[in-house]
Amino acid sequence: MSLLLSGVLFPPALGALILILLGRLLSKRSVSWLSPAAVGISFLTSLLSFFLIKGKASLYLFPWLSVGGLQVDFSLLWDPLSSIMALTVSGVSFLIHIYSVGYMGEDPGYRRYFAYLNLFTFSMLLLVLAPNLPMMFVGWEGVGLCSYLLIGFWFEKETAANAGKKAFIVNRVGDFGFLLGIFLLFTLLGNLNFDYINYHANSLAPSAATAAALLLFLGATGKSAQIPLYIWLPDAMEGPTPVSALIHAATMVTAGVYMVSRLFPLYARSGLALNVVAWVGIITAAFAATIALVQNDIKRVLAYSTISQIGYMFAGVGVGAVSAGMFHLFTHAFFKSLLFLAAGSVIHALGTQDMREMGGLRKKMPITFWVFTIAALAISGIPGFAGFFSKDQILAQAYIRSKAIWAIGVVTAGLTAFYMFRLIFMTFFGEPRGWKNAHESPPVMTGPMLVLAFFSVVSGWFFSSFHGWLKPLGYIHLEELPESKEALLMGASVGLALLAIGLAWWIYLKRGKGFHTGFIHKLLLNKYYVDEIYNAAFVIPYREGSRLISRYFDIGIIDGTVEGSGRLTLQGGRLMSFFQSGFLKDYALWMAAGVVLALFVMLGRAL
Amino acid sequence: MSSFSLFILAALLIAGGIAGFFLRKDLLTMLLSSEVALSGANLLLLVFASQASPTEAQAAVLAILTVAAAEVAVALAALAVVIREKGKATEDIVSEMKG
Amino acid sequence: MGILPLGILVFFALMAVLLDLWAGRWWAKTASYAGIGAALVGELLLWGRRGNYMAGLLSQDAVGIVAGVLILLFAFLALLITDGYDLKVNIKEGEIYILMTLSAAGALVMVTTRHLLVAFLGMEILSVANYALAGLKRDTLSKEAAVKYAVLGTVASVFFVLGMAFYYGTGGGFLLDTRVAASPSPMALASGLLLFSSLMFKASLFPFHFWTPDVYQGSPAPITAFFSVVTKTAGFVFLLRLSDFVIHPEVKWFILAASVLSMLYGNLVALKQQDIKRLMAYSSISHAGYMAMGLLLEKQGAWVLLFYLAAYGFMNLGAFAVISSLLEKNSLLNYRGLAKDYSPLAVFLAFFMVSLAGFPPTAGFLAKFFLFAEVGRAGFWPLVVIAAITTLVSVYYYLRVVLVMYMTEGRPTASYLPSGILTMFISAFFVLELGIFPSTLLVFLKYFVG
Repeated sequence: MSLLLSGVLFPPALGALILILLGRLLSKRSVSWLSPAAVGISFLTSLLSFFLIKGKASLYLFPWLSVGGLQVDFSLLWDPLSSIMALTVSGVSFLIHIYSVGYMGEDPGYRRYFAYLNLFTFSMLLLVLAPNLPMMFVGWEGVGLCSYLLIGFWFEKETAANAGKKAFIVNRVGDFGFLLGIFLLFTLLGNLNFDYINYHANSLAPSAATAAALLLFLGATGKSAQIPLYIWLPDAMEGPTPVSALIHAATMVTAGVYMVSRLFPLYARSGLALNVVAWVGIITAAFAATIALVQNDIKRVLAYSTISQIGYMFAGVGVGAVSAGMFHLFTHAFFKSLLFLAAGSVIHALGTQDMREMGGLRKKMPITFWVFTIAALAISGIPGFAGFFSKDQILAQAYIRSKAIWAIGVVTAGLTAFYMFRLIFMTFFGEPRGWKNAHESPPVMTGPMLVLAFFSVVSGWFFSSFHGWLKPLGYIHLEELPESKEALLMGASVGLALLAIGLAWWIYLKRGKGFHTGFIHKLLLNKYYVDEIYNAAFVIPYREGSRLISRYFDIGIIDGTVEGSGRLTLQGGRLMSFFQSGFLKDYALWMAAGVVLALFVMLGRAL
Repeated sequence: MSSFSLFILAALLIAGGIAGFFLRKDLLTMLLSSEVALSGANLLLLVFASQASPTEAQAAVLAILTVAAAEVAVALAALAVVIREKGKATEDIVSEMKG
Repeated sequence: MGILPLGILVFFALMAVLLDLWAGRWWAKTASYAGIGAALVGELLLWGRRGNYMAGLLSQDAVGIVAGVLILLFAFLALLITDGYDLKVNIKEGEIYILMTLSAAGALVMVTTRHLLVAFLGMEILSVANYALAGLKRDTLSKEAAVKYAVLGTVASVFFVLGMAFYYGTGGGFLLDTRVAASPSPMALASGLLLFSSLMFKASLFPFHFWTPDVYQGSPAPITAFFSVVTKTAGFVFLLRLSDFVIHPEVKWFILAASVLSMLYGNLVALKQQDIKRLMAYSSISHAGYMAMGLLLEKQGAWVLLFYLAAYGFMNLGAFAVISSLLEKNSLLNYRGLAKDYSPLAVFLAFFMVSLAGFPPTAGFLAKFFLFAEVGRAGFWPLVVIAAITTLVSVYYYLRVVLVMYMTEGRPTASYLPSGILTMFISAFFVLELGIFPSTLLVFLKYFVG
């Protein structure tokens, strides 16, 4: 049975290998069969494994690192947690591969694109199926590398090249913490298998557990774009849109949540680390949502929304509800990738990402419009749609643990509904602003979108079986809440979301239409005024606040630190290279100085 | 000579070699100074040897002198080429690469 | 038996000298290949043996054999890189092969002895051959490189002889011995510091690294590759032999300081380099800094250090095989647009840069992983943190090379040299092999080296 796992992991690797080695020999048509098929096989085998393998299975491949007390095998682990992730990753990846066939059809780098995408899927599955930290780290670095290659895919564009670089460098900071965390755990426990770590977590001193957990979490903030390392994700939108959907929405960026869920007992051992996870998550959620309110680039809105939703997941895991956090990861993978794919469909049709140049697309692109609306309802937490169930679980669990986290979460839910519907009203309703021809995307693109739309509704209906599926892990636990209270909480968040949608409707459509008759008609034709109205009518506090935040915090402090430290190191290098004067005598002098200093220190100690 | 005065001589040779290396400006003298310091180190070896079994150390000194000669020969050859090319022997003729 | 490889190597080197005179450079080259290849086979036959030969002047053990195999393998690959390159840049003499063989013989002597005098002789054979190699390109920079290397090398020799004298003064012999090295007398300590300094020169550790950037820049590219792997391996393995001295806290601090400063200096100064060979020189200094951490583990560090040396050797040789293909157009400006015009070369160089920067699944990652984990386990946490931070910095300049090749436009000129391409494949194979199946080497290291 466990042999099936190799069928999950290796087909995408094979696909990538063939594309890299023989890419030039293959026709475009065969590439567009081969690459999705590789991932499709991987998805089918995960589905098969899901039904055939009961409980846990592991496939031992070869001993990888076995030296000096370290025993790390190269094997694959299939358990409730990794099975869910593997299914989600391979499934979503498969759909996006198909969509990409249409989206990237005209691009000259077609083969290279699919090679990277296959390689990414392989690395992500490696990360997911890893039974120990070093293997997870290999996958972790692999997805980072692919992400970097794909963000910079159109490297002729300088912004794309720079965005790739930024993502790479920011992630290195996180990975540095991750690696130190691995070393620390190795020193503390002498074993890096997840099972072993989780089993022995309680034997660790709480302070040691805190240090290790927080170092690993630093890695998670990098990969999953949380404060303080989130800054690379909005720029990452320079990559092709299907990439944003796959890597920067559904899969890679949730790796941090997956890692914390994997090592939950370690985090639980240190109460502090768990609190840090919860608070970083919820603050990021609120913070990113405020920024999303004022963005005009359709993909940037979605990028900030991704940051915000991952914040929810961390908050869920951080308040101890691993199954709720993972469930949000699961549902989010569908509706967020759908949002990106639909946005991609719009961008594909119009050739712009600026929402102020859109408007009125509802009639021209009906499928895109409807699936987008479904996904937006899902992310806004409207009852019946997937996001409602997962977000509601997180909020309910947060309420028991900390009312403050709950309150921030509910407000953020309102903001989410507002910016999502602002996006819809600006893009699909009203009059066309600045575009002439638009057409619905071909079936190869709408097909995957429809499938995702189905899951954006349905995937939320199975929380209790999802919870039950994860139960065997041993650390899955939910607090009970009285039903009346639960209904009240639910009512509060749903009410707020509906209110926000109504407000968006009032500002962008109702009042917008009103403006057409009067002098403001001109303003609407003039795309610039859209934001002015929006500000004047509604978000002055938000706008000013988030502008302040985004200007001084986002760019000034965080970007400044990254770039500033870069500049500082470079200056340091320049200064130090002064020693390398080119003169023999100087070189000999420093050598002699080294020896003499050492001898003096020694004599000083001896006498 | 007593081993103490030999010790002093060795120390002087080493010190003189170092001083010559850092105080003189032309490369040939610098190279020769470093050889003087090497001789000092050799002498020091002999001084220590006189207190223990001397034959091993004496053989060692011969071997060291031989390879040092080879080393100097190659260094001088390289130097000669550069000096001929630049027409002078000051230290700055080999300072193009830096930083 | 134990000195068979050494005998073979010296015999073939001398044959090569004669053949070069009588029959021309092709014969000298062939004799060099044959010598190194035969010595490699001989060394592999010795696998697992240990013993003393020639009244204790030479001694063979597991560390020596692993190091010997590495040195011969690296030297062979360096010969392959040189083959074809030499005529393109107008080096017509057969000496380049003979000198490399001789230098490898010196390195082999250094790793097969525990006798200080023999080690010194080996080091001098290596050095003298190296000085000549550095100057073979015959342009101004190459000559400058030879002069700088030779003069500073003499200074390092003085350190060694002084250290030897003090060692003799302490114990009355030249054989390395735990009791002598660990004796608390100031003389033993001084001898330790001086011997360490001299070998740190060979290994390019701060503050004895100053020759490295200038010599790397000036020497012919394949020779730079040879210096960076063969000389460094020999230097570090002999440093490992001196690990008995590490029991003194002063020596420990000395290594610690050299290690930290090499990491900082190498990685920071590399950031501003425009010449790829200079960049590789600073990279070499920083890697020496990482490897020096392994010395702090004393004998327990042997396997980590040897693994690191193997990984570093292959990735560096691979990178230099690409650099040599650009035929001494070493400014990074000449790498612009390499991905478009010479995409195989760019792919290989990018791969080796990724490995040098320490990314999985390459050998460069595991080498750092093992080293950092072991050093951390030995309790040197601040050191590991510094090493990790400087690794972070290093990513920037390795990445820069990749960015220049892939993301800028230009008209690079390069040439596909068949044996150079072969070296790239072999090196890439080993870099991946050690990164994915490290056990193949580790089993031996663990079994023999402990």
